[in-house]
Amino acid sequence: MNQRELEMQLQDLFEGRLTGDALKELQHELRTNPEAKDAYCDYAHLHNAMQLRNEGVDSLNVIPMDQAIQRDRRRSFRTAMLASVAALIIAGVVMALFAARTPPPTLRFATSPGTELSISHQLTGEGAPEGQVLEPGSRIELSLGTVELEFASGVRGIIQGPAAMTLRREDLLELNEGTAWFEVPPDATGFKVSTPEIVVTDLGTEFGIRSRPQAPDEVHVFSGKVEILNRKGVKKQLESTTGQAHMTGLVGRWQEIPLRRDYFLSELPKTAPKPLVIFEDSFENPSITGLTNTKPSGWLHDLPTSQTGLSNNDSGKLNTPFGSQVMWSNGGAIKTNPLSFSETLIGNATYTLSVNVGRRSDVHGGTCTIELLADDTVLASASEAVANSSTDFSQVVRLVFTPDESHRKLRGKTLAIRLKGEVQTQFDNVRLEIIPTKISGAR
Amino acid sequence: MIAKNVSTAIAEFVVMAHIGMSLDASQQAEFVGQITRHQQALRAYIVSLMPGMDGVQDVLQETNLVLWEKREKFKPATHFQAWAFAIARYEVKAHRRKAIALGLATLDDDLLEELSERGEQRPEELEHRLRSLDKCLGKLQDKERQLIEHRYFSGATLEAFSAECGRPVDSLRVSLFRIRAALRKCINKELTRGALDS
Repeated sequence: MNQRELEMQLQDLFEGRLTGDALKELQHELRTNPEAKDAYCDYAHLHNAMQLRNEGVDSLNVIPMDQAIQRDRRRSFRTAMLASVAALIIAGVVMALFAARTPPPTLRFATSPGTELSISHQLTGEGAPEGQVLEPGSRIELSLGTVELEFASGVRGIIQGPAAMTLRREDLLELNEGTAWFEVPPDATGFKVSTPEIVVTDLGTEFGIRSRPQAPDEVHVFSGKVEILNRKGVKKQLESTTGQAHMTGLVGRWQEIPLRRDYFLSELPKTAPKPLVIFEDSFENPSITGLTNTKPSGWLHDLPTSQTGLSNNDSGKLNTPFGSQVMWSNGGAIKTNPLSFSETLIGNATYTLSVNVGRRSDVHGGTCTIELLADDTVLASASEAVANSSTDFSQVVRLVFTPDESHRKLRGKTLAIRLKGEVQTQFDNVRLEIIPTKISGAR
Repeated sequence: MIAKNVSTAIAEFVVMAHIGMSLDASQQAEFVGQITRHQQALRAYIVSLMPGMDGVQDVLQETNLVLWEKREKFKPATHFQAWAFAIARYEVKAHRRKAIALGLATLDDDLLEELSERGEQRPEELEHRLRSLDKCLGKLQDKERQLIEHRYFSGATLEAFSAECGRPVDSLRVSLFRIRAALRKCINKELTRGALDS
């Protein structure tokens, strides 16, 4: 079946016109051809989206209230409960209708998959914004991922993490840190973004801002013009137009730099950034039996004491699901051997180190510490007490590290992992992942 | 006040984490919020399980009612969407059994479930798609846009629609095919643009 025939048959299927041999033929194609399966999903999505668009929110009245009450009554709920249920159902339906038919909130936001953020609102209680909306005083801290902002005024923004921002007014966003792109329609001219170093006032345009700790702020103008004000020193103010980019210079002045569109996103990514595992070890080498002082392959003792070793489930005192061996520490520490693990630190990535920890069935565990290093410099560490219940190694100690400008000198240094524990703490399944980020520290 | 600390993918069960077996007023409100938030995704899922069948709206409402009845059985540590989809799947099966008994010919259950699982969308993905659809409809010629919008607005069979438009069924079928193909291509381009940019 060629592509056209396939798509015609899918159309007929969704129109309810496909029967007999044609239906069988399509069914066979869908069972055997992955591309046909994708085409089916596409078709179903289009069909649904068109129906939704034409039926609107009326097709989404959440729960028919009378039916819900009738059913609840059959199940002998108390009257008071019914009243409360009814009120809530109405609230739910009204909420759906409200979202579609009343003026939108000051700012709506959406996130890309894999985004991690926290939101706080100035207003609390009944007046607090609900759902993915911001009102003046609301703040977002974005540790990972991307957020799309849609202002009621028509301004659209794409903010890449790490970032932090507070909505001050409908026309003023305070960006404490982050890489941000904005598109401002003519009606919203005058929209402002302030950072700790600068204030950018739109004069009808598309522009990007980079604001990072320990690096000069930058403004890139892709179309139209903006007014940029340096908040420091002589507070130099100037207009930046299409194709120009500036970064803050000495004593409150500006310095022209090359325009870089590649720093910015103008659409929300559809997929989560995929982590890349750059180190993985579950201490299966060398193979041992029982409880030993054997050092795991690929690791070095890191302290004068050698209070570390390997243990096996066959000792009867362990139950790790990650292979059959673990590394134990009784006050000692081990560190990756640079001859075995020689990855170096890069600037444009977020590192996640995770280690499963546990305890022997006959000894309570102590505190364990995991560290990520570049040569001998500790980049990040995390410590946790091993829980008494952690005999199954389900407890995970994790640290997340994103280099910034202060780590520039460490770029290119060899990464290392150090594990320390007390009182027979057991370690297993060590994983170091990186997620490359688009934000570049280089100029 | 810290309202949420979420990874988008697990936002649902962060919100639901405090809903216990007996729901108080705020927990019930949260539950209704979850149902509301997932309406479009739930509808999309049901559509993918019922190609060419009437009654999507009925099944959606029935699913909502069952979700509401079972609200106290929802396990907070599990994913709301997965739970809601499982209930929707069951409701669709019941509806399909009735339709097949009345002579409907359609794809096998197991194949439909495989396809619908493959096409599952989260609420934010669906929003993306709806926005892209709007953009892509704007790129069609006026006549094409009117035809496809009228087709969905009408909701009639293709034969009835043909009579309504005064155009032969085959001609309409080909025109709609071309428009749909163009829309699908355009939407996919819009959706992947963001992914390629990242």
